[in-house]
Parts: sequence; structure tokens; C-alpha cells
Amino acid sequence: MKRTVLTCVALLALLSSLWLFGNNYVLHIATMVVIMAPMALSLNIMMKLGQLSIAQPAFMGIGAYGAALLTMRLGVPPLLSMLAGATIAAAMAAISGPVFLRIKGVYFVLLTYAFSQVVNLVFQEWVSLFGGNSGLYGIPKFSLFGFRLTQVHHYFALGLVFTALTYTAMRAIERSDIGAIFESLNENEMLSRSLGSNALAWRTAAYTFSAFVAGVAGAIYAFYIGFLSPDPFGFRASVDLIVINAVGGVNLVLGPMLGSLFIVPLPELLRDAREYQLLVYGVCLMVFVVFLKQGLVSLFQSPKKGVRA
Amino acid sequence: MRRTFMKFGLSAIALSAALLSGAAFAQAQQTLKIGIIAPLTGPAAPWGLAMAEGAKVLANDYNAKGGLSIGGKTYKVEIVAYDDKYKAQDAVSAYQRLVNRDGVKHIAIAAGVSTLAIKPNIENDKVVVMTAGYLANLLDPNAKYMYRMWGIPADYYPGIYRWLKDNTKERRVVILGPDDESQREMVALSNKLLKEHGYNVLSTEMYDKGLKDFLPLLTRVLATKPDMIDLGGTAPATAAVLVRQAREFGYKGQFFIPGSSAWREIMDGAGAAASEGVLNMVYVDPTNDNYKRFAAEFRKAVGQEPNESMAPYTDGVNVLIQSIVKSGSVEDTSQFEAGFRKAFPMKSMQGDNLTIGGGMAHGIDHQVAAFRYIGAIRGGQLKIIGKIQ
Amino acid sequence: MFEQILVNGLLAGLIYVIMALGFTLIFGIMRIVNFAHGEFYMLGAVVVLVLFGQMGWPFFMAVIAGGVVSGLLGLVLERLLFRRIVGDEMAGMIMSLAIGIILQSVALIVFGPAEQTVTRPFSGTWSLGGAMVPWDRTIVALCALAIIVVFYIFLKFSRLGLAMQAVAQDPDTSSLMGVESGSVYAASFSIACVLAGLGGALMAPIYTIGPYMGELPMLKAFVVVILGGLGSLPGAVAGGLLIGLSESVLATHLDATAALIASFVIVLLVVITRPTGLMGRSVR
Repeated sequence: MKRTVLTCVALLALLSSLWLFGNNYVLHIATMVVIMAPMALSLNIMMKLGQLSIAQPAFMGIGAYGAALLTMRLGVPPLLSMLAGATIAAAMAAISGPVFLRIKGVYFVLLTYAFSQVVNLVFQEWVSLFGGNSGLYGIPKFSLFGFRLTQVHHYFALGLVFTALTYTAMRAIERSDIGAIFESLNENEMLSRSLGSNALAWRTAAYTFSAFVAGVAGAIYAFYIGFLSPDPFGFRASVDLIVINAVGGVNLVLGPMLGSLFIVPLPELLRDAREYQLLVYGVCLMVFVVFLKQGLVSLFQSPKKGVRA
Repeated sequence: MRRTFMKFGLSAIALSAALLSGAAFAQAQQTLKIGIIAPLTGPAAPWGLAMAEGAKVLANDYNAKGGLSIGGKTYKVEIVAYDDKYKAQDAVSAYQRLVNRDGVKHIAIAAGVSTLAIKPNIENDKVVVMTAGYLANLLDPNAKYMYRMWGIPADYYPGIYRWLKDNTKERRVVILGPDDESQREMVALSNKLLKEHGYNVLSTEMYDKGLKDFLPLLTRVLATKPDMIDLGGTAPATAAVLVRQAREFGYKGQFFIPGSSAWREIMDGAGAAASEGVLNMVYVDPTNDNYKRFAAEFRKAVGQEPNESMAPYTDGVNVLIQSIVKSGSVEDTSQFEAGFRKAFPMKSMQGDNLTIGGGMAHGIDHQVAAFRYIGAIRGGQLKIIGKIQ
Repeated sequence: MFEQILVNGLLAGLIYVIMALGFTLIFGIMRIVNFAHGEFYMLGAVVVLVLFGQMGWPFFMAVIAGGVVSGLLGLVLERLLFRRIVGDEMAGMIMSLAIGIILQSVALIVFGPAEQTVTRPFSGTWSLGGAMVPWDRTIVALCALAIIVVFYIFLKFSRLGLAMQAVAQDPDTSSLMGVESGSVYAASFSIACVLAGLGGALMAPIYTIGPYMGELPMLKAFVVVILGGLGSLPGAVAGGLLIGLSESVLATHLDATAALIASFVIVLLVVITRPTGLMGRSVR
């Protein structure tokens, strides 16, 4: 108990110093970390179920465009449009879930890939609504009960709060019965079905939850950057999320958090070697897949926690 | 699990310390830092590198002559170029780093989308931005710190289409354009201008910018028997493929490319015979000595031929630099506008007289009226046959 | 116009088949989605750029060299890397993703970002009914057919080919029967890379060559192979021709993006209703 309190205090001290003393550059990176962390968590849920989903950035895009358009065109207050955008994303997951999640392994990957491509094409082609490749410009600032979020600090706080919420929710799930059900779904579905859990319903619930998280992250992104185009929601984004999870570690909820902390700022640290950035990315990924399959998280783990093959 | 938190906390602290330590302002001590945000990797890299490396050659020129005299002090010119990968969030990172870590107050930026992404910040930060972006909403009367280094199609298309009508006889035209940001605006404008000049516009097509197989498109389009194909702002390598495939299908008419400089790629990719007669808006007279010098320096630094947009991009950076000199201050960017007005007329890289433009079309005259040339491919060479501003 | 659409569709279709062959092979036998498939394709094209475009080798020699280089690289990677993660589907996918990223970035560093062209070894067109058929694509189509036939014979009649089929169907029983799955995996992966490399090499003069050129073929391979069935050679052929023809029709009458959307919608429908595709085997 004392240790947890100590680490929480340390974390708080760290974050406050970031807030108070960090300049806009550092805070921008930090904000991107806390926007990508929930995205990585969203993919993590699906990977824990053994289904690699390439659709997460598409859900992020739906949440982003949804929130932006509701606020811009219909004057909906930002908090509401954020939730609405995420709900639309979640609804799409809930509808497609029972159909897609029946399918396992590689076919599921390909399905989500096709889904995400269709979503992207719609963003590009439906120009009157989404602005096409030119995108949506002039998204208003996020405001909460009259307080307008105009500075980087504010968005960092917003993203941080959401990340903390998502993390807590996922830890709670992991520790609860639901978490146990998810684990068993991955390990041995037939057995868990025989014990009475409706596998497809649980998978769809997980998928829907992951889409909701992605949608909110997308909305935060939209309000922060103020400008949307289809580009950040394509296949490349999925690659980033996969790298984050592989590097951070899939098994623990802490994994994607560590992964985001490490991977998102990486291009900034590698600015001088920009052509080699991509190479470093790929080599990192390869090294982790081969030698550190459990991710960064495993470096911190006490040996007695079982390492799953 | 507790141990995990401790270690996590410690490493996070270490990481943040590393980032924060770079947060100290790098004060410009007798160094004028010009920032550049451009795609330095990715498919748009040829343009980004043209801007970054062209600017570096320019900086070397100034430094070799002893630097710049601004407000009574001598400054060395330093170019700080960051990659935006043609993406909005990377442009924001690059901007934040330039402004908050490197202490830069003047930035040249290549892509329209990137400019849009940082535009909200520059008025607050009082950072002067010189953009090459084509999007119409980049300049507006409220954007006091935004400038553009050349005219966009809305500005120069009327001139170029007037030239076309006066100098060519084909009148049945098909317009093709890649589906990318500003291209829609450009294609709509071409359509309008051609119709005003009495052309018969048979069809207008936007194709996916990654498209390589144009046979179906050409099958449809050539069936209407055009005698001219307007390729808009088609990317150079794609233009080469299009010209070749159209010629193979028996198209004998004219090609007109007002939106991007593609003649070199077309000659290499389609061959001298297929490319004979292609009319192209080009940035550069390849026989110009000063341009050839810049190109040689670029080749030494990068190992490839420069994209010819290097000429207008470098002119843009030069305008930035000269305006700073004339404004008398590096730190006080509120003086920049006065300096901008005093800097003209000034010479472009190729010896043309640059002036200020854009007032009527954009509500604010923060634009450089750059020159564009009209070239024709004849006998495997580019011949400059016209010039517009 | 109808004959032209047909001809365009068949030519495009055969090109897609070449792109898809290697991809479907790796999946069928090793159950790995090779995200680096496009980069092996690019590698073949790059070899042609260097050997034929810059060093003046005869075109077909450069093409074969392209295939060989890709195949050798594939073999090395399989032995060194994939060997360590046999059976772990997700790790295999992530590993192939990593390889793809690395190959792309190496190409970027060595050749630069700009797309390049090589002078075409064949040009001009010939007429078939009312349609104009470009010679360069005709050659590619003929080579594609030859490759398909040779590969089919190999699969059905050679020891290695039969071993590959056996391992695809049931690795455990095959090993009981004395087929060593390890060397079959190595052979399959490298043959698949040879096919990808040959595809890229043949296509090098048709479009342009650049570090990102593998993305489109990968996309097409996905679509074709899902339609035809992961692991099925006749499926890849049927899928490729079908996609080529449907795209030709849609792209000519509507536009290319509509054709692309249609392809993806087809993929979605196929995976949902009949995941094994037109001709694939049932999922294990």
C-alpha cells in the first residue's frame, strides 16, 4: 500500500512539473502520448482476445469527424458531441461485431482491414460532408461548462484524464470476472462456452468498448489539432498501434501505456536521423517480437508472474 | 506489481527530464535561424527536400559573403529544417519544436495541410510564416503573420489559360486531376476558365492519386475524342505514365499541364516521341546559370536532381530573409510587415523582378507575385516559350 | 469499347494474379499474413532498376535476378527470424510487418524518395478486334501465364510441391510421414518471395519504381486472395481475373475509386458469408 501511494505521489509530482515548467513543445508531445495511449489500450483489448483489429484508427476517425461535425454544423456542445461521436463509433462496432467476430485469426485481420479502408474511402470521397482529402478546418476549441480549452496544457490534462479513466476501467476489468472471461475466451473458447459464457456477446462487448475508447480519443484529437483529414486514420496508424503494443507488452494493461510513452516521442528524439526513423521503428519491432515477446512490461515484472507463451 | 510502478515512475521521470532539458531556449546569438517545415520523407519528399536544401544553399551564399546586417548587427544565417511527413500532427510537432525549443520566429512551410494545422498558433506566438501551400483559406485579412511565396492557381491560372487560348488552336478538352486537397479547387477553376475562353470541355475527372493503371480512364475519356488533355496538377511520375498510356492508345492530341512541373519525368518515362509537344507550366528555365549552380549544390548534398520547385521555394525563403533585413529586427516580428513591403522589387533566383500580389483575390496582399514559365517539349528538350506572373 | 474493357480487365487481372500468388502460398502453408509481400515485390523492381536500367543487363535476365534476389532474402529471413516464432500467428504477422518497414526504409535510404522509371523494353500496341493492346502489358501477361503454369506443375508433380501441399493440409500427419515441415516452410517462403520478386521485376517498366510501390500490389493481393481463398492457386487465378474484370468495368463506366470501394465491399461480403473464398480450403 505504501509503495502504491509513493508511486502515485511521484507520478503526480512528475506530471505537475511537466504542466508547470514544460514548454509548448514538450506539452504537445505529452498530449499526443495521452491521445495515443487510449488508442493503444483500445487495440490491446482486442489483442488480448486474440483478434488483431486494424479497425481501431477507423473508429478513432469516426469519433473525430462525428464530434467535429456535430459541433461545427449543429452547434452541439463539445462534451456532448465527443460522447456522441464515440457512441456512433461504438454503435458501428456493436453492429458489425456479431458478424465480424465470428471469424478468427487472419481472416478477422483482413476483415477489419477492409472495413477500415472503406471508412477511409468514405472520408475521402464524401467531400460535402467530410471535406475529402482537404479535410475539415476550423474545428472550434473544446469547452467544458463554459470554460474554453485554448492551451496545450488544457488538452494535455483532458487527454490525461481520459487515459487515466480508460486505464482504470481496463484494470478493473482485468481483475474482475469479466477479465477472467476474456482470458478464457482467448485460451480456450470451447471450454468457456461449455461453462456457460456466451462468447460472441462478450467479444462484441469488448469490441464495442474498444471502439468507444477510440472514438473519444479521436474527438480529443479533433478538438486539439483543430483540423481533420483522413490521413491519420489509415493503415499507418494501425501499424503504430501494433508497434506500441508489441513493444510495451500485450498481457498487462500497463504494457500499452509504457509502449505509448516510449514510441510516441521516438520520432522527436530521432529528428536528426529522420530517414533512419522508419528503420529504427522496424528494427525495434523486430527485436521485440523475437527477443522480448512480452514487451517492455516484462522487464519490470517479478519472475513469479507467469509468462504466457 | 508495486515494483513495477516504482520502476515505471523512475523511467518516466528520466524520459521527461531528457525532454525537458531540451526545453531551454536556444537564444539566437548573432545567428538568424530560419525554420523550415516540409515533407522530408515520404512520397512528397522531393518537394520538401527542394525547399530545405535550396534554403541551405542560399544560407551558405549569404554566410560566404559575411552574413547579414540587421539592425546594426551581423548575423549568420542558419536553416533549421524539420520533417512534417505531410501530416497535420507532425507539422504541429515540428512547429512547436522550432518555436519553443529552437527559438525560431520565421518559418517557411511547404504543404497546405501543414500550414492549416499550425495557422491557429502563429498569431498568438507572433511567428511569421511563409507558406507554399495552395489552399485558398491560408491567406485571410485576419492572418497578419501569414505570407505566401507564390501565386496559387486562382492567381495564375487566368494568365496561363489566356496564353493557352492565344497560342494554341485545340479546343476540345478533357480535364484530369488527382484527388488531393487543393486539386479539386484547381480543376473547378480550369473548367470555369476554359469554358469562359470558349473551349468545349468534354469531361472533368478526378482520379485517386495513387492510381497507376489509367487504361480504363483513358478508354472512357478518349472515346469522346478530345484534342487536348489538361492534366491539372498531376504528379510528375504519374504524368509520365498517363502520357505514355494515352499515346499507346493512339491519342495524338495536345497535353497541357498547368499545375505541376513534370516535363523531365515525362521525357524520361514516356520517351521523346510520345512527349513531343507537351506544354507544361515550369518553374525554371533549365538554361539559367544561377539555377544550374543551385542544382549542382543540391546534387552534391542529396545525390539526386532537385525538384524544380526549388527555384520558387528558395525565392520564398529569400523574401523572408530580405524582409527581416529591411525590417531591422530579428526578434520583433511586428516589424516584419513593413520590412516585407520595403524588400520589393527584388530579384528572383533566375533574374526576374518579384513584386507583391494577392491583394484582390485574398483580401490581403501578403503574397509574392512569382513568375511561372511555359515550356514545350520539342525534340527531346524543354524550350521556354512563354512567361506569366 | 466493350472489347477494350475486356482486354484491359484481363491484362490487369493477370498482373493481380502474379501479385497474389506468393501471398496465397505463404498463407496456405505457413498461416502467416506476409505484410512484407509488397516490399519483396518492390525488391524485384529495384533489382531491375539497377541491373537493367543502370547496368544494362538484358531485361529478362534482370527479371530472373529480381526473383532470385527476393527468394534468397526470403530464405534468409525465414531461417533467421520466422523459424523462432513458428505457430504464433500474431507474432508472425507483426514480424512480417517489421520486415516490410525495414525493407521500405532501406530502399528509401539507398534510392531516395522520388519515383524512378526505366526505359521500356517493349513498346507499341497491337489490335485485337476493336481493342488496342499495349505490348509491354502483353509480355507481362504472357510471363504471368507461364509462371502460373510452371508453378502449378511444380505443386502437383514435384516432391517438394507435394510436400508443401501435405504440410498445408496437416503438418502433424505430414511429419509423421517423414515430411520435415521446417524445410518445407523455408522453401515455401522463399518461393513465395521469388514470385513476388518476379512480379515486381516484370512490372518495373510498366509504372514507376519507388520505395512505396509495394503498397498497391499488397492491397490487390489481399483482395484477390481473400476472394479466391487463402492458400488456393486456382482461387488466386480466378480471384485475380474476376477483380481485374470487375474493376475494369467499374473504372471505365464510373471511376477508379468506385471500383476500389466495390472491391472492398466484395471482400467484406466474401469473408462474412464464405470466409474460405471461392475455392479455399476450410479453416483449421
